Amino acid sequence: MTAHLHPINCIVPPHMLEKIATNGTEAQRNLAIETLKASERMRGQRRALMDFSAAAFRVAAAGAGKERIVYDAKNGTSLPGTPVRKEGDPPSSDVAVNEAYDGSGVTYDLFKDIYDRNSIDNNGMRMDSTVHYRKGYDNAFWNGEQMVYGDGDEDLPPAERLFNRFTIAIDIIGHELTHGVTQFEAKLVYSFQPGALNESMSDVFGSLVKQRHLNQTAAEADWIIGAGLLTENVNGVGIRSMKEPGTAYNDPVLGKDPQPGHMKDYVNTVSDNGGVHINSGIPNRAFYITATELGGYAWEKAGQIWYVTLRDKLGTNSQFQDCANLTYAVAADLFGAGSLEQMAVKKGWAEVGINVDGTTPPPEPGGCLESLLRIIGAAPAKK
Amino acid sequence: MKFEKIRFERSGGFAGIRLATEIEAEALPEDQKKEIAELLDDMDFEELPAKLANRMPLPDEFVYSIVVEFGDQKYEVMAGESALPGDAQPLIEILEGIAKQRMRKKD
Repeated sequence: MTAHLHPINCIVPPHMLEKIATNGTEAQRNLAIETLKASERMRGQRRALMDFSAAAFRVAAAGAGKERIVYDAKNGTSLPGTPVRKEGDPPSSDVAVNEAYDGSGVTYDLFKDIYDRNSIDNNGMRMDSTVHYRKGYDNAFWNGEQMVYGDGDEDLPPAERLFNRFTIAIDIIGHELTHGVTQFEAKLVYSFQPGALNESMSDVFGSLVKQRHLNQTAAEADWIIGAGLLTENVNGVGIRSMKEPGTAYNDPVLGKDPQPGHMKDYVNTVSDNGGVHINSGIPNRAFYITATELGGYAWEKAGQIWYVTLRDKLGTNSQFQDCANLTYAVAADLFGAGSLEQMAVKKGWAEVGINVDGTTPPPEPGGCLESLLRIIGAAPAKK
Repeated sequence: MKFEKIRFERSGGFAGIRLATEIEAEALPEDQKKEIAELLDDMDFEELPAKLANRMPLPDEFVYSIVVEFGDQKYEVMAGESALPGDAQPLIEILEGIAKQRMRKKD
């Protein structure tokens, strides 16, 4: 069979090659990919590869490669602000500028090198970041087009500061950029369970950016989101723990980390767009368990399963149960039904109270419309 | 706009750490009480819909909830940062400032 796979004498139709590239041995997969590439070049077509998710292979997009601009809002609210460092420029004397530049570069590299994704939109979209947004701004966000970072409590006396600048942790940068990826792929609505999945995806890939940057295996990683963001005045190691949700901080001023790590502790609230930063602890822990179960570098297998699920499977209104079922299905596509990888996914979700066979009803049965109505107040909040 | 009590909550944000306080008008210095009343007037707070959602919430932006009480009247506004009208900013800064001060003093 492999004889038919020679790039020049390609007589195997693309859909079969895709199957081989999905299910074949490593050598078969490589050959199938080479053949697809060659026929792609010959026919000048892209279609054969566009839906080719299994091997996470995508043709290089037409856009440019890594392209970054960092802007300075100079403590104002106008975006994007004044450009201060462009792609290829030497480092600035401003540490926040360099962190935003380097962090988005490292995030780009994870998506490009490991998942063959060319930037936020997979078409070389320029990565814009603005630092020094407002004064005393304890936050970072993705505004639909760019990343925005505040300086934390820099306007307060050191003894009263709780937050450092938001570029300080590389996983925060990966988190924000991943919101952009989600916007172009699954487009998860930012409320209730779809919103918590949106958040969780950002934490997952934010953490993977950091782990790869530090060359850490799943066992070596701390699985903390935002380590270094809290000042020494706070009793806490970071903002969230993917390993043990609810344990990142416990402080007389900030309070206690409110994240649940199991469906039995799911928090029903209308605050925080329906608890998107709270209940994300549940899928976060499912990923942690899957990755730890598989061992090695988390971005390789677990990350691949989650990435393909985000890119090809999840939709605007996906619930936790959907994500469990879909990661389980993707694990079978990528590694085979009944594979160790698929069993690890099953275990990950089971340990947070979600069975991949779909027997656990999600506590948030509302549809997309209902979620939206609830957010804008046209439907009653769930108790 | 007269008020007896303001309940303020900021939720969400990257850190997802809730910041909330209840402000009794009586407990405020006279000039600050006057300033808040004027700001509420300037932004026609009573006229605002309870939920401001002219666009989808932006990932990691703060979500604000402000409830103004006067006698048996109650006006509530809940909105993400990007959905708030521009003239709400000075009021948000004052309420956020009070909430932050109190949060730091509660120990």
